[in-house]
Amino acid sequence: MPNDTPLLQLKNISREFPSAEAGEPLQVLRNLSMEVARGESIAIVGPSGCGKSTLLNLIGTLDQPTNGTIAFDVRNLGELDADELAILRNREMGFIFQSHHLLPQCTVMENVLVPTLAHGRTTEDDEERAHRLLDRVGLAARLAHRPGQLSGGERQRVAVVRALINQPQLLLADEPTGALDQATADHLGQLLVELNAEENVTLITVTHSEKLAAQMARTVELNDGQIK
Amino acid sequence: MTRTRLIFNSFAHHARSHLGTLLGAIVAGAVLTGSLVVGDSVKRTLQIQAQQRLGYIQAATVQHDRFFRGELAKAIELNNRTHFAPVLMLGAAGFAEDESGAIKTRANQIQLIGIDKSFWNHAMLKANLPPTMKDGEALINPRLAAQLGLKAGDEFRLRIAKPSVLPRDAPLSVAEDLTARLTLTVTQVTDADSELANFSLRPGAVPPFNVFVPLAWLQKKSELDGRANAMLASGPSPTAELVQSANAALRNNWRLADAELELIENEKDGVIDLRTDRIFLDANTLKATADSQTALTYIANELRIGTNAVPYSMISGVSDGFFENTPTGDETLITQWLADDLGAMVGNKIEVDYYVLGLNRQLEERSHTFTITGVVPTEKPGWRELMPNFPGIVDKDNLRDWNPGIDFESSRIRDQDEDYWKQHRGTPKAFIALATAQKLWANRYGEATTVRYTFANEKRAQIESALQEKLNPADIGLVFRDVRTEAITGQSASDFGGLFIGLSFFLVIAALILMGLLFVFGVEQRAPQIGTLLAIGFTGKTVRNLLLAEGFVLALIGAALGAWAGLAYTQAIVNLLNSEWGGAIGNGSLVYHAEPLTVLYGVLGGLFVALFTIWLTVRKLSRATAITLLLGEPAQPAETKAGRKALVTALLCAVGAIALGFAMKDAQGQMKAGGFFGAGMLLLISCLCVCHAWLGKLATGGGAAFASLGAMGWRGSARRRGRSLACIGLLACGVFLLIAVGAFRLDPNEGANERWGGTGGFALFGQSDVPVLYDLNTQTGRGEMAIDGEVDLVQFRVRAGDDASCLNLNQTREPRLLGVNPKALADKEAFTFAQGTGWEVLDETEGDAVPAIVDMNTGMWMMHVKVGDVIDYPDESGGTFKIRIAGFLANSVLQGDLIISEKQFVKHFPSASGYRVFLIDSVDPKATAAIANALSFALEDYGLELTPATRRLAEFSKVQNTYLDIFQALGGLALLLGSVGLGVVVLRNVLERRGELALLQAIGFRKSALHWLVLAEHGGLLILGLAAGIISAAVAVWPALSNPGQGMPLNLLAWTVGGILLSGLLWTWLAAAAALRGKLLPALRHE
Repeated sequence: MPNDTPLLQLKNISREFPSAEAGEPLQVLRNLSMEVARGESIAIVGPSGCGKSTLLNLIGTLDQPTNGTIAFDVRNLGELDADELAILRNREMGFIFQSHHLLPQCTVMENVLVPTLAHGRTTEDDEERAHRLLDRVGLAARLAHRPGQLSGGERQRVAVVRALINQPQLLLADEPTGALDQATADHLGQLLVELNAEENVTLITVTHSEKLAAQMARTVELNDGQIK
Repeated sequence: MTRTRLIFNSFAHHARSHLGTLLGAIVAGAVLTGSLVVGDSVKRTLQIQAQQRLGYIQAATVQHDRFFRGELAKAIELNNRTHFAPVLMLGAAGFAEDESGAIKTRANQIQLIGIDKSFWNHAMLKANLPPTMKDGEALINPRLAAQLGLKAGDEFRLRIAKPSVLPRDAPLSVAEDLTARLTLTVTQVTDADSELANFSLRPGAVPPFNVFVPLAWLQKKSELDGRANAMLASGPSPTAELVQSANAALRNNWRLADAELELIENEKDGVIDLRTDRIFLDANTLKATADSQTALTYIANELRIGTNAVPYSMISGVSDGFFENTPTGDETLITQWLADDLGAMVGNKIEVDYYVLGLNRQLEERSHTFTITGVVPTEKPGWRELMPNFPGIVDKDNLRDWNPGIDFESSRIRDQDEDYWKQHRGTPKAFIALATAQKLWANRYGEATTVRYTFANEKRAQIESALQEKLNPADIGLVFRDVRTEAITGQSASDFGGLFIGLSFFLVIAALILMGLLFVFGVEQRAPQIGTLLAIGFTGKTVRNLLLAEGFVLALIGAALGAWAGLAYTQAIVNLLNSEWGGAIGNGSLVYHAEPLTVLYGVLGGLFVALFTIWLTVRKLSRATAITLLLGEPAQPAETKAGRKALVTALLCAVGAIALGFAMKDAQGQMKAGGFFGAGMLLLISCLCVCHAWLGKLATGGGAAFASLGAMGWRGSARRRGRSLACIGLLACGVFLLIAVGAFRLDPNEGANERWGGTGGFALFGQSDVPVLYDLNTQTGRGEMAIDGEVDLVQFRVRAGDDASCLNLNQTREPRLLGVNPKALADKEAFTFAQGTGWEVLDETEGDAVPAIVDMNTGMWMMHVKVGDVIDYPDESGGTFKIRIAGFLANSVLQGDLIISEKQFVKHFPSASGYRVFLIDSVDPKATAAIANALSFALEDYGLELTPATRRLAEFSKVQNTYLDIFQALGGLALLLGSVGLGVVVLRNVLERRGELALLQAIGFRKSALHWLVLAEHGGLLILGLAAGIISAAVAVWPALSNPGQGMPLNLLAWTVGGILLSGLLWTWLAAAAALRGKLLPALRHE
């Protein structure tokens, strides 16, 4: 695949939600088009309710657009079934949420390796990579700890490593620093940028943080469901 | 990292939240395993009982009303280790007296068993042989000892029906001196476990009353020297093999005497006669002697030509060849003595008067006219032997001393008659054709009295050998049958494991719903984690499988612990069945027993149901999207669509219920009950669908302002529709079942005096040990039995059989058979038919099957038959005949018996004389005691036991009512679980909404108001559940209310429903109090 082909192409995307009162549907995204190049880092910003998270969910295949097409690595996502989408999410994408959503029953190492179980078994390479990445984010000494024994920033770093474990092409982060204090948030933002380069992963992050947005290569501002 | 690791990590981490789920799985598993083990316990109990009553006995031959030589047992010895024992078993009534001679205690239906030492070869003796009994001494079993209050050394008395080789109903048999009194001294009370104390060849609800006496002494006392009527067999061979070899040995070693046949050699007269003490030779015997001279000799009351008459004379029907000119048709040869006495000449017509005996020993005098075709000598050699040994005649020196079984007027005897008797004894005075004689005097006992052979040396042995070859002892019931295999397998009348699963069904369902609720609560708490797994690429199926695997571990532990708890549950059930619930098993005694395989089945069953429930809950969850789960909320289906679907289903079910109700309006019995139960169930589903739609409407019904805090509460109940509906459903199903089952409770007093009632309107039910030979409704019959005053009763002939009432746990193959005149019951319109048209059906003669009526409970639960089924039943001749179930009686005192017409009864059981069961009417309840006294006094020697019909019905009703008690008790437990479920839902709902409630408190609501809000929300669910259950149950039980003895027990139901309401409110209140405890406001921060 030539490197100049965009990793992600969104064409005329709309997303509507049915109204609770059976009136006009609620239009969250309107006719939105954009492209994301490989290895790019993008911040999606905008006021609350402008459709940032909805857009991220559509890109992450957790939701489907009402209209328009999304192509990932030239594959039309609308043509894939649920299992294919799950495999795509597992192998090609990584997710980081505002809340870390780590499995409390698993250790740090186990949490990182959980995605490797979705469609196969954990290999030695996986474990080696997990070790390396956890070492990279400064958690080498915390491998056997459980989420309850970690600080907020540490948990979020585990979530970042979990998102990277399957060597995805795309890393999606939804308000990754939203629940962190400023210093930790800054540190995590810096880490994401570094990993974007080191792991050659495309990074799309939704954020209210101007500081985090500023660390990204491009900023896309949404307003009322459209790119401003 | 592996998926297994992930599952176990998850399981361990959520162990605390799994505790509730585990508890539900344990309860479900315990109830399932426990119920199955109840089946094991019943089986083991029956095996122990079988062991106690049979010892080592494997096979037995039992003759009803016939007797064989006791020596036969010795003759057929197979080998040193195979034992045969002759037994003489007679029915008896017993009593013990106090010092003053007054009767202190009584027992009826006693088995008096004459045994010799060979009997003990069949007992599993733990110690030495029981003491040898002398004449007049007896061993008794513990049950009889307890009943009569006897111990070793005590004296007691028995009244026995004196057996008679000649059936009491046979023509010319003597119906006098029917009973004998025996005074016995107890040598020892035998040990139930090791000394065959409870010996019986028939399974029964309770051990029999047994008295063992020396065989020879009993034979002497009952005038049956050397005879026995049962033979026991046991040995090292498998039972089937033993039966085969014993029957072969029996066939080789039996003698004519074992069939009560006798070859009398009369060298002087040159004849050998085949005769029987039963007077009449039966068809099988005659078939084997078809090529021989045959005679049928009978008593003529009078032989008459004009005004000349000779009283009480023998007349013989003889076969061709007896004379050169043997009479045919209505011809007769008379003797010279008769010709002289009557002044008769060839060509004269001679009238012969004779009696025939009706069903109830009613004598009917008939007359037949013959033409004299010749005169033969007064006596020739061998003629006087043509008279069979008529009792009351054969041993009399004087004719005037005759005491035959017919009306006899000695005043009619003339001197020449007396002289004739002295000189010629019973030599026939006239001879007619055998065919004519058989037309006039053949009866159900036989068609000839003598088969005659010409004498020759050693011919007797040849004849005997030939007859033994041609006759089959099995034709007279002399055949060994396997009595052990079925008994020792412990096969019960009902599958008690299945029955208790049925009874506990609702408890299992309640436990599973509770378990499902708790599991889903646990899983819902983990919604964001599940969402994360979906987001990082796990498919819905994989996530579901992970949860199922976790549930599997939970279910496995629950099932294993449940099985362990189930054993305790069984022990509790067994204890209750041995005490409070004793009525369900006829107050027998159950032992606890568990088979490892059954426990394994219980574990597997518990595992399956728990896993299935978990699958049902996670199935829905895994369909939710990652986004909703990440937000912590499982998705709700689209309200409008789901609501519409629910309403359509509700409508369809309601229409179905109405249609089914109309269709079943005129149906009968089970069909009607089943139909209405189905209609009720449809209505219940309809109600639940309406609730579902209504909750959906509430959930989306925004816009309208809350009119009150209560209305706000109502709206709240729609937030978690699944949970709310589970509560409504659980309560509705519980109420439905409890009401539906409650309505089947039987009231034996209802309609007790009505013909349609379970008593048939009869006041008393009577059973006697000794058969009554007369119709007690007639003046003659009452006169014969010395009964004062009038009685109106229906009497039944009895062929002993297994106790097939629901008091007996054993499976029954041959219930007791009763023969009745159908008209007697039809005229009274007695009893209600659950299925079938009426008593007249017993007289139907279509097909070769004999129509029978049976109580519905006996038919359905004990015999496992339905109307129209045909079963085989053994007849007296050793074969079987077909019985067609032609009708079911609804809840009656005739439970346990198969009833056929008297005509059919005597056809198949000619030797079973008289009547032993009585339904006695009493027009005025005040007169009942007087009737009972009169009958008891007159029939004391017959061992008559009278029971008020209502009491007998109550004993049977007690079984059904006890099962209903069990069901309701277990159902009550289930409802308790149901209300705990409601409490858990309330607790969970409130905990989830602590922030919301904190907000309400923040804006000025008092805590009591919040409490009311929660109560209103969940109280509504409670009321909806109760209403849905009550409405649908009312439809379901409608037809049951019209059955005799059944009616809606409103008080009980009011208490039940009230109890459920209060219990539900209590749990709601407790849960709300627990959830609202402490400071709510900090919860706001977490929002």
